Amino acid sequence: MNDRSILFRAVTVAIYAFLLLPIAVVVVASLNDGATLAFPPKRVSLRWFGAFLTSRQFIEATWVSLEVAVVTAIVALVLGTAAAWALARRAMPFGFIALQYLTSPLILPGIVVGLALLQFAARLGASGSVGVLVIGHTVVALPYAVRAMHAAFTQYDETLDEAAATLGARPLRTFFRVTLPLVKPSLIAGGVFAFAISFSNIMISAFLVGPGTTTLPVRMYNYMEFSNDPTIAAIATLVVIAMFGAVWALHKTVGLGGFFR
Amino acid sequence: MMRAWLLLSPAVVFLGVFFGVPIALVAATSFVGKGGVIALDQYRRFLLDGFYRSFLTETILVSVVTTAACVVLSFPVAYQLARARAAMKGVLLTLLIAPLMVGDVVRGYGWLIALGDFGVVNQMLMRLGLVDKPVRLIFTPTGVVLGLVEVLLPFMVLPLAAAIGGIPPALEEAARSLGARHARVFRKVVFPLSLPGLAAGVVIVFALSMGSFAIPLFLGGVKVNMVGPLIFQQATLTVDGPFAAAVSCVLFATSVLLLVAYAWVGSALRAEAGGR
Repeated sequence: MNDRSILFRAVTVAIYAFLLLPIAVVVVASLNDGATLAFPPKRVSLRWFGAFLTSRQFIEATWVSLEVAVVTAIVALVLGTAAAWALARRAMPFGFIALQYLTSPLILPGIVVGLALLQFAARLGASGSVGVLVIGHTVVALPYAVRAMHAAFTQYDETLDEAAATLGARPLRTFFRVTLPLVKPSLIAGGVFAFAISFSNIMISAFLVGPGTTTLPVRMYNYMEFSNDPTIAAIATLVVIAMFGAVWALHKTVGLGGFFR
Repeated sequence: MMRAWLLLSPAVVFLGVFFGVPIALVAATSFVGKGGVIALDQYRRFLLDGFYRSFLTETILVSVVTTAACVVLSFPVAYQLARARAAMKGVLLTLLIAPLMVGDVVRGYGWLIALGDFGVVNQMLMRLGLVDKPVRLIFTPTGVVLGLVEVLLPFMVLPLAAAIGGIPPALEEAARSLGARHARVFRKVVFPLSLPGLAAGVVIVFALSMGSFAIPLFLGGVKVNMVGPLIFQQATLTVDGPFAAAVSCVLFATSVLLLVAYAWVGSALRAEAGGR
């Protein structure tokens, strides 16, 4: 290895360190025994994890977030898989535009989605409901499902479906018994990403939560405004462990390669 | 064909009803002037009043700097990712993608701790002898840019790495064997061929930065004026629906223009690459 490639390595390592800095800081801060955010901690303790587990507010918010994220992932996957199949497997007029449209919430500002649904829900008298949260989260999670499934169906070998048809399987049976099992890795990946996008969302939730439907990220932000004890760091650490675990498991089982082109 | 339409329409209708219609209503609300008449009052207030206009100029400035920093930082990371062996690629992708899943609240909170007057960043700067006393980073544009670059860098790295991955390594080797130095190979081979990926990354990062919310809220506070927190504050605290709507429409229009430019630049670059 020459000097140039060592320098190149050092630069990339430094950039990854920068990328992971806030996450590392949160994890270390969560182990602090004191009631303020001393860094690095003087004495190590797990008491703030206990503080989270015994807080009714935070546990309630965690359940709301889990409920919303699970429903969002299912709705986004169903809508996204159907649309991606049509776009990838059939030459649709305006297919390219339809794909751009379905993935546009990736780029268009989520904050506007939040405001728009806030005003929309107020008109329909549905403010602060779990349903409105699910709808808002599905808008921003749908692109991830569409992308994952579109990539899978584009690479799909159609002769397998034809073989099933030749053997007498009806289209619906072919889809559920042949096509879907073969794209299962992408379904799992798309579902996990949609879940995570919903679970960690604050931009849209901030507008749509109501009494009894406060999600975990919004609850964390509200708590931060009047207290700086490390309870938030403990919750954040659990989220970090869960998300890194999920992404690592995806990498080990279905691979991460194709989904972020 | 009939079946394909049936499968495509639920997603299209869903986005139409819960994305298109609400945004059209926001657009309609933005033209409500004083006394409930149709007027451009809200836009005049946002774009002509010096105080509110500073939100737009500061957001653009922060987004330009953030995007530029992401361009510079993404090349080494993307190049290494594209050329890494399969096992290493999995590790690097996990390190890039998992933070996206963790979300802005956790990372904004981490930066809040890290950037404090006695936080790790200031401790590091002082130990390196770059400053004698802590520099103010929280509630400054610098702090917001740092947080945004960290949050948005993967959105630049991933499309760029995909583009670089499409360049055959043999092309670089050929250039080197003909005597070109590393810098020249980068300038004449890698850089031009990775432009479609870079263009995609620039548009995504700039658009996400313009519409960012949590990072400016956490790290900018009331000291850094950005459009995202302004919309939230006007909609929920001040309860000025029409004004929040007008600000949203300006932001939304900017993003749509970027999206169109993105599709157009993308197809132009693809056509050019195909023509060579």
